[in-house]
Amino acid sequence: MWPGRDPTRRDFIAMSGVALGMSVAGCATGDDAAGETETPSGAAPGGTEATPEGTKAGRENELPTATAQERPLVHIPAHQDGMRMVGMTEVGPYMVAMSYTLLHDFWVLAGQEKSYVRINDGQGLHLMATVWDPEYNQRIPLGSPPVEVRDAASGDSVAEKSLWPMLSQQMGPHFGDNVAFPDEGEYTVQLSFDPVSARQLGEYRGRFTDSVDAEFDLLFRTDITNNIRERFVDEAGQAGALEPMETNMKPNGSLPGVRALPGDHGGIVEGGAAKFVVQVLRKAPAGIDSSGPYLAVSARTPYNQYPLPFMGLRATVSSAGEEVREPLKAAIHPELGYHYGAPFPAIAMGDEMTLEVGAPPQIARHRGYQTAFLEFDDMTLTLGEQ
Amino acid sequence: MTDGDRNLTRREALRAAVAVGGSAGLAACLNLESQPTETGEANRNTDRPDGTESAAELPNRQHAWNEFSRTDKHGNPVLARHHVLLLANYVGDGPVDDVDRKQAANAFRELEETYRWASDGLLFTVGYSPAYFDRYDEPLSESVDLPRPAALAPFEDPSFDTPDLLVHLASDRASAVLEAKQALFGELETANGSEVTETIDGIVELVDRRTGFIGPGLPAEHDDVDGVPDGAVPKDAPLFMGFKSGFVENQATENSVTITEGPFAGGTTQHLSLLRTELDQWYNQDSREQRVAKMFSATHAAEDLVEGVGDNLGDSSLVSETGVGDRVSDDAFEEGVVGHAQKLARARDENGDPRLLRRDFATVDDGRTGVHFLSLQESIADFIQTRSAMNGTDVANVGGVGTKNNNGILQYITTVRRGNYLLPPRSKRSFPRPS
Repeated sequence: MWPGRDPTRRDFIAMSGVALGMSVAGCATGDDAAGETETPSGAAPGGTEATPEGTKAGRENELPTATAQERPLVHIPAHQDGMRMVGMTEVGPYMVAMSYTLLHDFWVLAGQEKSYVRINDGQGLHLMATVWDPEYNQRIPLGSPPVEVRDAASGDSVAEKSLWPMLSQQMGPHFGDNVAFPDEGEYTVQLSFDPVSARQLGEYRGRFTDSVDAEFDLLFRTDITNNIRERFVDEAGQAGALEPMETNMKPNGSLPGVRALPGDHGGIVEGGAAKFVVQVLRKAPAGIDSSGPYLAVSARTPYNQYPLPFMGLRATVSSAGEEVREPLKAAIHPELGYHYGAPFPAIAMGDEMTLEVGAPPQIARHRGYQTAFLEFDDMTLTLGEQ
Repeated sequence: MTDGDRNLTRREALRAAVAVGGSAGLAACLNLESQPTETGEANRNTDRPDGTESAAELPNRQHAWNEFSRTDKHGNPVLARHHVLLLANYVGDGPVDDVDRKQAANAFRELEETYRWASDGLLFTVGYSPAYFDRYDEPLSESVDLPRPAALAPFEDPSFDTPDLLVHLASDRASAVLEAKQALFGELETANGSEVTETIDGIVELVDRRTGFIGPGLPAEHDDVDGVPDGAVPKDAPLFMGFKSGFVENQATENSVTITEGPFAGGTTQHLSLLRTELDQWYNQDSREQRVAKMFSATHAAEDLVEGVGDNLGDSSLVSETGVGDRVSDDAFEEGVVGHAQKLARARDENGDPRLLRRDFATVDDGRTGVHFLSLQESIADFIQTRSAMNGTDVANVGGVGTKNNNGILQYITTVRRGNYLLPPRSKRSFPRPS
């Protein structure tokens, strides 16, 4: 029924009777991607290992069954896990939450090239950092924050790396990676955040320009991780997404609803399973070197409305016979949240607009998103006609 | 690999001996080197090169190493395999007096007489920091661009090296770099069969000693340290990240990095940084194609231009030939990734040539993998400009690229230390006056 599934995982699921309020999708057991859960030999315990897509093994891992090939681009994963909050702290302009779940598999992208990161044997955690602005409650989905995990007693470094920017159905945009823990015990987790590279607009202008550090104490105990619930989802493989997790993190990662966005609504187009909400602000926000109109495109996942960062996006706008083609720059704004935008001095409702995607969103994907947001046809609309 | 296990073990031991240093390290090295080998490494007792007798035989440029080094089959100069960096302070206050200047000059000269000036003998440079020149009332000649070290990216926070001088010892023989250090500091009575009579003992104080290595096989033999997964580094990789570098077409020439005017004409500037590498994700999560895209360019990955560690590239990383240096922003937007070499291709001088002559090497100092990134350039401004191109700040918000995300190899390296030095011409190698 669950080919390739790790029997020890099934055993502890059977034993685990504790239901937790928080859960997160994506641990590698029992999904329809058979074979991905097999543990390769020779890899670091609790770590991860890549399988290049495009190799025979990679393709087999990804699409082993007819069912998988017919799967909707965004689909419900086969299982979900709980998560545990390590701590939450305000540093500089950020609120930073540190949490973890069971070791997860995921996919990292460089261009169109996807690399499948499998779970290896051994004990460890999938560490997750979630970052937002506590004033306007917008998640900051950008960055590759360096993390160092140390044994609290000895000070020995257990792991040092940059966390991947990632997207998961229940955690939304976060920074994460798998970390092997050699022993049970207390650890310190030190995180550093670089200045935000995206344009900072409106009240956000100049706000996220300093590097900040955050530190957490983490207790690693297998009896805790063993109680992180895993359940299999009956709707696995169907179109949809697991709900954003209810946590004590104030924003759940979803972008503001269409009606809450500032400016005139130009319409919504879809491509690559993503939604692109088009807004025209009559006056460019502070931080844009223009007093004319500003085109903002809010690229988001279906269902949970999560932002899709690290994408090449270009708009061509035809107004009164004149065509202007501009790349849209990633930006953060208190009301728009994360979006792509550029000033278009002559843009007006009724104009024809085409959106082209260059690089697909270069954010690591948890299960349910691994086949989505990769290939996009050009998208056109007439502003304001929807 | 043609090396047998026994020989790999021997090479590992030689590298370890350099890291250990001291008389124990040297003794271990000499013992290992006197054993017969299959790889042609010379036997100390029969063909260890003798020193250079006449100072006139040697170039006035301290950095003129290439003609005294091996070249590979593609014509790329091959950097010596073993390296020691000695950071030291002059023991006196204020300017260096002439007696000490003469003593050091004699010590450096005696090193040349002890070993043949060649990568299979000993090559070395002596450089001086801005802090050293602060000892003098008069300023450093304006013909030299030598600022104090500084952070060179918004995402780095390095410590700064400010010793008076930096001695860089290089040799294919582990024993030579070890023994030369001990000879220089008066810890030996004989070196390479010659009596040690001139030393810098008593006039300088060693503040740090760093070691490293470069060459096919050496990194793979030292993957038992933090920062790299065991067994992940390709067996024939010269550096920990698994690819060749230092292609002659992508290096500045010794000529072009030479200061041409003023009292230090014939000299050059030297930047030394310590970069820590964290390669778990690099080897365990990125695919080979992704590694090629991040190290070279998306074009290199898509067109499969790099085989293995990149020996097939010959004498060029192909960043010019493919034109990828002109497509950094376009690739960030369309491909979602820009390559390290691709970004560096933009840092060319007015003639379109690279600004840096890299002489960097790998290290496992303190039990962690890293790179002693040592480069020579006419001015430190050349280094800053090249590093700026590598930072890719201009594409940190273009398309799929972030501050570090898919921005070359920035995600995997951390700058820990930086220092700047002047390598005066050989005639002014000993405690130069500032003008």
